[in-house]
Amino acid sequence: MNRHAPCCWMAGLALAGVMTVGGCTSHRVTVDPVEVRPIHMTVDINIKIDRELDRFFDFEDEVPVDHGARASSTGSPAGSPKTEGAQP
Amino acid sequence: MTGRFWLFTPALLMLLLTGLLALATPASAQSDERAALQERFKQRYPALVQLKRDGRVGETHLGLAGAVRSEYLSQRVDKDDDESPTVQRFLNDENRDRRRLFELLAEELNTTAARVAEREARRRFDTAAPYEYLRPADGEWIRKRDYDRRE
Repeated sequence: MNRHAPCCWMAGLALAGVMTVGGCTSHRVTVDPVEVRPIHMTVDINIKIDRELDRFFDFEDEVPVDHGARASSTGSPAGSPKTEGAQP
Repeated sequence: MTGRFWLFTPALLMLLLTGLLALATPASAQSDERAALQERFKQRYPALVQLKRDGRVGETHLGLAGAVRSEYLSQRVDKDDDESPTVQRFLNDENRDRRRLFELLAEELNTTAARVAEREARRRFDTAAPYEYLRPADGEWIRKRDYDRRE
């Protein structure tokens, strides 16, 4: 029993030494900065704008619009319109 | 001390109320303006739909409405009614209100009026009927059905 005592003491001392040294070292944890990419912000603002526009113009759904209707002959331009000057 | 407190309480309350009113007024004014704009859009909407069906008016990439041909500008919105406004006048009113709406939404959402206009153009292009005229950035008027084929 006594024969093992120095070994135990040595091992204990070594462990204590390791722990002491370990506690004294500085550990620096680096965290990569969170990158907010502009595209995410753009998508986010576009969604908000779309939502507001849909809400504002929701009355348009109340007026029935025949999507299969053809343009009336009275004012329908024949062929491809070339005009300018009708700038909004 | 207590007497002084009661003396100042009404004044403090008045100050507080004034501050609250000052804070609430701009938002309320903006809300009123939006409601007024919406009402005008609603009133014009049936005529706008009819003008688009006639092929006289279309939507542009700027989020504004435009006359497909310049000669339509001098025509009456309702051709049978001499009291009806001209297409030019109609478009001026419509686009003035759209621009104001873009400004209001931009202010509210902390973005630019140009971005709101771009989203509005996209929304109108997406929801257009096949016969409606659209004018993309290249400047040529094109029917929605042809625009979809091209895209």
